[in-house]
Amino acid sequence: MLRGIVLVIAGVVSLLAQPVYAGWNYRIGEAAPEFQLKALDGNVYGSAELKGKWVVVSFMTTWCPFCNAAAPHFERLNQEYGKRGVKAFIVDVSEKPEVVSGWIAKHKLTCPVLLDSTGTVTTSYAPPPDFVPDLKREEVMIASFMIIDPDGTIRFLALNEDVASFDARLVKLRAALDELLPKQ
Amino acid sequence: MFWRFAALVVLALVGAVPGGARALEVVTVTPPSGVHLKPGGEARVAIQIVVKPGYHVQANPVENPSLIPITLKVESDANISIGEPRYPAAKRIRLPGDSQDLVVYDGSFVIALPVQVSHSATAGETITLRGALRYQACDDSHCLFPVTLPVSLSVAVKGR
Repeated sequence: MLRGIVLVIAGVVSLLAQPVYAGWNYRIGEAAPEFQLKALDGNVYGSAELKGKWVVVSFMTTWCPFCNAAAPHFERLNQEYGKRGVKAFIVDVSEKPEVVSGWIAKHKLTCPVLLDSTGTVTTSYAPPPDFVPDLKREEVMIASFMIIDPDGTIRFLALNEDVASFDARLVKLRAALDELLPKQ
Repeated sequence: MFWRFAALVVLALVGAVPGGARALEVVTVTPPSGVHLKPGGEARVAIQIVVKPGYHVQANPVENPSLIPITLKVESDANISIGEPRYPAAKRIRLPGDSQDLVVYDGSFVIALPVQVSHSATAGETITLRGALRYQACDDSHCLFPVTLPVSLSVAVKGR
């Protein structure tokens, strides 16, 4: 009986001792989930066509302050790393096309903006529910940034832990790209 | 054996996570319980808003038009006229790397709602007005989907 009580206490203590956020390695090394989404430019983009390319994806909404802060830097990154063959995409989470098109114009975004109107694709890319369990999985992914390698493997995922870790200028994303991309 | 099973049950319960998390409720809205006005009378009614600690909502007005300002809308009635809500002064914050401040509310604050009763209102009647509070909340690291909460305001018409 004593052994059982000790086991219960040890289990609870070990769970409570876990950090609220288990770290930055969620989904790293996993195959990027398959998707096919229509973009505002009228084209349909799918994971199959992106095989063989380095891909940067950001999940955004027009109303999210973090996304608004990062959008100009994402466009700059798209311009710069596009020259190195990187395909950048924004996945807009659960918004109407007319709202998104105004926002694209405002930020002069030139990368394709894919419309995930149901949030299903965004959810498929989200970390498991132990990361910020109170939130919907789509909410966790808003203002996140991901790198997918030519084999379709997730190599980088930036999720906010607190406002201090928020990286509007995308310094960590750029550093990861510089490290991962073949040297020129 | 029983204790081993109990341990597993406790571990499962402590670690349990809802499969599909519901919208997190971070704002409560409380209209005053008793608004009493005479026919022809008017008042500014204080609608109390409380934001859960650690969260903030976008203020009204916002400086970046892409953001969603907190907005109170209450429908007028034939005998009750509702004016434009007055929102409090906002707090300014800036995200690292952003070029623009955010204007937000946190904690507890009041939206003042002008209410006017028509001269033809009948003394003794209580009129319930329906409305909604729309807001978009964030904490230090995540933003939640916009939420619309129902608001109900009862106005009792007093005798002259």
